[in-house]
Amino acid sequence: MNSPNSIPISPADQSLLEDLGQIAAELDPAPPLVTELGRTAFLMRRVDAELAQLVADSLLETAGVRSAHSGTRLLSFEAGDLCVEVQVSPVGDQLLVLGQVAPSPSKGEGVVRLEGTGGALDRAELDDLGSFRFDAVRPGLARLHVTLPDAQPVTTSWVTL
Amino acid sequence: MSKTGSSVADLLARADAGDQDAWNALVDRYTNLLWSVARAHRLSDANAGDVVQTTWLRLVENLGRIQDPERLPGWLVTTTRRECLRILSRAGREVLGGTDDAALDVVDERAPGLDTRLLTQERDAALWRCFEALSERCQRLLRVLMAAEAPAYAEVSAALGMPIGSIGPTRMRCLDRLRQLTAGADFAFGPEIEGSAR
Repeated sequence: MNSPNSIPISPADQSLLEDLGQIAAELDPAPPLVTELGRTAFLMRRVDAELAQLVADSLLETAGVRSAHSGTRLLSFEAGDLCVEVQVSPVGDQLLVLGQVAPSPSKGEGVVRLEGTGGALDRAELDDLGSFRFDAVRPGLARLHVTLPDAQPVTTSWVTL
Repeated sequence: MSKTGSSVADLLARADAGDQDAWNALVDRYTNLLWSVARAHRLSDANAGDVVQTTWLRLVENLGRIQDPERLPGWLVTTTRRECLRILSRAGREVLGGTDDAALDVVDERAPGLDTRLLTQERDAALWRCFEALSERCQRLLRVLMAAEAPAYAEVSAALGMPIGSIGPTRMRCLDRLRQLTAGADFAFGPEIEGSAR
């Protein structure tokens, strides 16, 4: 705790903070399963695809505004010039996922795969406008894998749908 | 500040090269810190677990992009907090602003047990109940600061969205309030705690 980046702390405060740290480690440690899921996250690594980072999420933009959570969520991913826009809407206890890849592939060919942490969930082909659709998606961690002709595949960041 | 083992830079480089053991070492080192951040946002076990898993998945996809390994703890905490805010936003809770200091009045006054063999545990339990009666802002800051692998203060500042100049004073104020609560809980705390409360 004596790193150059620390702020001076009284011995009593330091001692109390250390006590709390010990209690927290004892009373509320990360469950073993959580650590295990962290370790297995490594298996989800894709080195063959370019990452499309999450650049906008309407869920965060509306944080703090009550009742703003009802309805549709908009997500934007970007990898270089490629943009993947996704709209997620609840339908009962499942989700409708509508998306569009821009610029749309000139040949009108392209495949989008929906992946969960357990593997592939669904597959859709892009239409002429670069749009795709997944029905009856279960809420949970997911990412999209986009394969376009004559281009490196793109995988979006993980998001909890 | 790492006490033992390989440096973060070394572990990140090895993980980037595909070394699962190096990755596991990173996960083992920081999962408790990330869990603490999620719990400090009062997330349930299930939600906290999801948030931590998401953070690790985010690091996996960004391996090789972490510019400054020294700042990894701050990056992890920031990512975790953002995921917490998503979950809270979805749950429709107000998450920005507000210090909900009214919560400070809520003190659990359950009588401590008398079994002296349990004295340490009882004291710890009582201290923790008092901690949980602190404002969310206090709990968030203290849970990050008390973690064994706590990030540097500049990183804490960025991660929790608090000005760095306010971290020291807020820390002191929150610990003082904790002492007031423990004094009110009418339980024998260690001399270092009692002493400062008077």
